[in-house]
Amino acid sequence: MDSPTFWVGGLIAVTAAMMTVTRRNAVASVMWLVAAFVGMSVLFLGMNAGFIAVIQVLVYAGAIMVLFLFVIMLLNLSPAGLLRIDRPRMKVFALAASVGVVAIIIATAIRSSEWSIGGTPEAIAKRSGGTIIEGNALALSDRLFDQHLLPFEVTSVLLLVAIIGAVALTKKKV
Amino acid sequence: MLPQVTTAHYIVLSALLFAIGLFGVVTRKNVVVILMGLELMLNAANLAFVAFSRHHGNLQGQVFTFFVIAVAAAEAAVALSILMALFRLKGSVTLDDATELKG
Repeated sequence: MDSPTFWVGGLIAVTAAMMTVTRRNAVASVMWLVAAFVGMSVLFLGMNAGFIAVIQVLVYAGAIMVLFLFVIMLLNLSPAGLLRIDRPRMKVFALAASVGVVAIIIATAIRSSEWSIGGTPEAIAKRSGGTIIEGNALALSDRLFDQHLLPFEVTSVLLLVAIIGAVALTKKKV
Repeated sequence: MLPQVTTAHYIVLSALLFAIGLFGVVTRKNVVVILMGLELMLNAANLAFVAFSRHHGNLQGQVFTFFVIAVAAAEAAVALSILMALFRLKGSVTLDDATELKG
């Protein structure tokens, strides 16, 4: 049953995300963002997406957030540099845009009976003939190396370009 | 007893996280925090992908999430390198100091 994981993971993710965008210190933001990613990982576990949940913690909470911390450390920002400088006029626009996005999605979700009535675990199980899809490494690698082999290989080229680009951009001019 | 969780719950949660990320991107001036807001928005999209993957009983959405995570990693690496170059040029990472194109 995915009800407890939804409420626990959702509460962690939303609280931590709010803390992330409001903290004064960038290091505190990084730490709260790690908590948000762990909360989302719990949500993925509740949706039977175990492999994605593990990748989420490994790549996001592990690799990307350590990269952020390293950059904050390398920049050697003075405490004044870490302080929050908000844009008051933009705050109104941002709040309107954010509330608008949520309102549109909530309105769609309420009107759509397919998402609410057809989205219960029982209805999904009935539609797919009683079998619950399990997003483990075996099932995902079957898809990845069978139907999505070309995108997978192109991704390796993209990561190579990112590595070379990062080295070229940060290297001191000779 | 908690109400039963449906696809609609996951989509609304995903929209909520996307909106929080959007708010951070628009209001903050520290480029590091803006990038964190971007990561949050990408993750909200991932949540929607996996929710619809569960809804349709199809693994396609989870495979796509895998690619999104790989692209997000590449994006973070390049964006943070640009940030390093900006810091070397201007000595700060606030958006106000990077206004060369503003006549």
